[in-house]
Amino acid sequence: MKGATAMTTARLAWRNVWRHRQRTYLLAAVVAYASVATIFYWSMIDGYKLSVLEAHARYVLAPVTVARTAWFADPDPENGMSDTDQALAALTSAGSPPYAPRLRFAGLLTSPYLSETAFLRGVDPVAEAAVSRVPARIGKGRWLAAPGEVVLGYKLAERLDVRLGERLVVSTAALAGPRSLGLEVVGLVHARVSTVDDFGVYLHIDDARYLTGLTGATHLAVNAPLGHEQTLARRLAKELPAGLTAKPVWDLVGPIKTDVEAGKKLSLPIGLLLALFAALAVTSTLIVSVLERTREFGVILALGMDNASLGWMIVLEAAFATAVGWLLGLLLGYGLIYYTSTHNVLGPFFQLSGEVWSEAGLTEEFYTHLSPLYAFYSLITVIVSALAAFFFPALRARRLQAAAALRWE
Amino acid sequence: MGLQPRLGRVLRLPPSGRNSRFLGSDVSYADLSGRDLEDYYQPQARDADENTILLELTPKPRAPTPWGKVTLTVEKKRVLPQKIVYYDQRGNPVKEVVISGFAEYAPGRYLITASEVRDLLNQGWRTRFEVSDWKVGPVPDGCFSQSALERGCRY
Amino acid sequence: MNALVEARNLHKVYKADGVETPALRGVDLTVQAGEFTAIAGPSGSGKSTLLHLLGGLDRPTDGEVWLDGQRLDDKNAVERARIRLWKVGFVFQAYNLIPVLTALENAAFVLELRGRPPAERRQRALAALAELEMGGYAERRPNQLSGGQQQRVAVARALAAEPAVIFADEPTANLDSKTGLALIEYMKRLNREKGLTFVFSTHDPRLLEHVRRVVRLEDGRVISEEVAG
Repeated sequence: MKGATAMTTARLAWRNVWRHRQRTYLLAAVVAYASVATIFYWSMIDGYKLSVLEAHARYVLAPVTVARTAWFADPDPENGMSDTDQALAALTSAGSPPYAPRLRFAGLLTSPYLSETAFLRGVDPVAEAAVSRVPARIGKGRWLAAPGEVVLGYKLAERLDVRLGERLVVSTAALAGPRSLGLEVVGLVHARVSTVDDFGVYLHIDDARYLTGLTGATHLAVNAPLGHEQTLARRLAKELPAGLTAKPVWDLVGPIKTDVEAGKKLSLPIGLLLALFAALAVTSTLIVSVLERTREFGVILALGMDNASLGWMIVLEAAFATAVGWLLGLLLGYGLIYYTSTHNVLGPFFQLSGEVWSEAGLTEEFYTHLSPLYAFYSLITVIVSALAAFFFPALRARRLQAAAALRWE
Repeated sequence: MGLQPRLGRVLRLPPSGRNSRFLGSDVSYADLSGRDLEDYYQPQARDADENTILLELTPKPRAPTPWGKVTLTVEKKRVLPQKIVYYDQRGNPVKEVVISGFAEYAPGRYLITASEVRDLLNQGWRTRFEVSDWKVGPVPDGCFSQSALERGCRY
Repeated sequence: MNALVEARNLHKVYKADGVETPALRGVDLTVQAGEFTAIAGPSGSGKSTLLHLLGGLDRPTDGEVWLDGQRLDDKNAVERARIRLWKVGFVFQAYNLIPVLTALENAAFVLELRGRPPAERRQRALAALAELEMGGYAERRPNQLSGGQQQRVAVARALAAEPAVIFADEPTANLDSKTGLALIEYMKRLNREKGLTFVFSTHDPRLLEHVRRVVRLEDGRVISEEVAG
C-alpha cells in the first residue's frame, strides 16, 4: 500500500495542463509576455549602445584612430602627420589591419545661395571603403573616384541647394594659408546617421592636401571588428613610437559614452522592476487558478492523494504551463527583436525624443541587438517569478484539508 | 577671417570664400573685391551695341567659384562696368550689380561711387552703395582699429 | 467477526473565530463487512462529520476510529491519505467529479493515483461504469451528464477501486426523488451482488424504507438504531 508516486503526480499535472486549456493559455500568455518584454527590453538597451558605437565607428569616426597625441588634443591639420611611415610600420607589426588615411580640416562650403562652415574629410576613395560604411551609403550619384570631386551628406546638400554635377566651392586656411577649390558634387550620402547626413563632406585626400598644405594625413582610420576596438587600440599603442597614439572609438565619443553608460546602469533597476511585474502577473494568475480549483483539490485529497503530492502536482502544472509560455515567449521575443534588428521600425519612434537622439549620432535608424543572452535573462525572470508564484499554491496545497476544501463554494 | 562658432575655431578665408552675405546685406565680400572675375573666368564677347559690350564669363575648370556664369555689361567709351549678373549653375540669375556712378580720381582711373546689388531670388531685396566723400592717399593703420571703424577716421 | 468500521465515543468540535461548535457528542457505531447502513437525521445532526471521520478525511476531537483493523484517528495526514486511497471510497452530495476528465477517466482516477497500469485502469473503470449502466457515457465530460448520471459515475469511481467500504454523504440530496431512489437501488444491488459495504447518509425518510439498517442521529448523538427483519 503506497501513495501516489512522483511519476503519477507528473502525469496528472501534464494532463491537467492540457485539460485546463484556458488557464494554461492564460498563464502561458502572461509568462510569454514577461519573456518577450525582458528579451525586447535588453535587446533595446544593447541595441542603443551598439547603435551609438556602430554609428561612430563606421560613420562618424573610425573603430580605431591613429594620430599624433597633439592632434587628439587639438584636431587641426597643424598637428597632423606630414608622413605616415611610422604609423604604417606600427600597423604592420600589429598584424596589418585594414586602414585608411584621412585628412580632416575645418572649412567653408559655398554655393550660389549660401555658405556654411563644416569639418571636411579628405579620404583615399579606395581605402576608405575598408574602414567606413559611408562609401556604401551613397543615395544618389557615386562615391569619390578622383581629385576634383566632393561627396556631401544629402541634408547638407539640401541646405546648400547644390545638386549632382554642380560645383561647390571649398575653402580653408591651414598650413598653406587661405586656399580654395571648386569641386564637382558627384554623390550624396544617405547614411541615416545624422552627423553624416547633416554635416558630412568627403573629398579626395590629394585635394585636402593641396587645400591644407599638409603632405600626409591628420590620422589613420583603422578597422576593427565591433567590440574589439579597445584591444586593437591597445596593441597598436604599444607598437607606436612616442608622440603617436591609437584610440578606440569609445574613447573619442566624449560625453555620449557617459550618457550611454549611465543609461545602462539605469536599465538594471528598470529590468528588475520589469521582472517584479512579471512575477506579480504570474503569481496572481496562479493564485486565482488555485483558488478556483479548491474544491477539485479537496476531491483529489479525499480520494487519497496526500498534500505533498498535491502541492507538487500544482507546482508541476504551473511549471509546465510556464515552460510552454517561456518557449512561446522566446519564439515571439526573438522573432520581434530579429525583425526590429533588421527593419528600422523603432527609429522613427525614437526620433520623437528629438535632439538627444541626434546628438548621440543617431536619428533615423534604430536597430535592436540579437544575443542568446536574452534567453537567459528571460529564463531568470521566469524562474524568479515562478519561484515566487509557486510558493503560494504549494503552501496552500500543503495546508488544504480535504474536509474543509469539500465544503468550499 | 572670422571666428566660426560652430566649428569653435578661427577660419582665415581666401577671397572666394567670402561669398557669404556681408553684414546681412545683399553684398558679399566678392562683390566688393571684383578680383575673382579676372582670375577664375574665361571671357567671351556675346553682344555689342553702340555704347556697350556684353561679356559672358565662364568659370575655368576647378575654379573656386559657385557661379555657373557671370555676364558683364561694359561701357565702350571708358571701358567701365555697368552691370554684372551672376547666374547659378542652372542658368538662373541669382544676383545683379548695377553700377551707376564713377569718380575719376586720376586720369583714366575710376572709383565706383554708386552701385546697387539686387538679390534676384528675393524680389525687392537690394543694397545701395554710395560713396559721399573720398580722398586719395595712404590710409594710416589707426583707421582699421575697431573704434575708428565705428566713429569714423579723420586724417 | 471483527467490525469493518468502528467508532468509539466520537467527539468532534469545530473551532472558528474562537467559537466552538460541537458536531458530534460521543458517537459509537459499528459496521460489519457487507452491511448496507444508512445514517439518518436532519441537516446539522452531524451525519457528514461522522462520515468524514469514519473515512479518515478528518480527525476526531476525541474518541477512536477503526477501519479494517487499523486505527485511523491517531494517523497523520499522509498515512490517512494512503488509507483512503486503498481502502475507502467516497461519494459526495455534489458528485465532485473532476470537471476536465471524462467519465472513464473519473472512474479510473483512484486507480491512477494508485499507479495501476493504463490497461488495467481502463478495464476496471469500464466494468464499473457498466455496472452502473454508464458504459455508453464513458467519453463524456461531467458537464455533458445529468446529475443522476454524474452521481452514477461517482459511484463507479468508488466501485472501480474495490475499496473495503464506500461512504456516501447525502448522495441523493441533489437528485429528484425518482433518480435518488434509483441510485440507492444501484448501491443496494452492488451490496447484494458484490458484497460491497456501504455507509450512506440521508435526510430523506422515503429512502429509508428500502434500507435494512438505519442509524438515527440528532444533535451529534445516536438516538436510535433500527434493523429491519
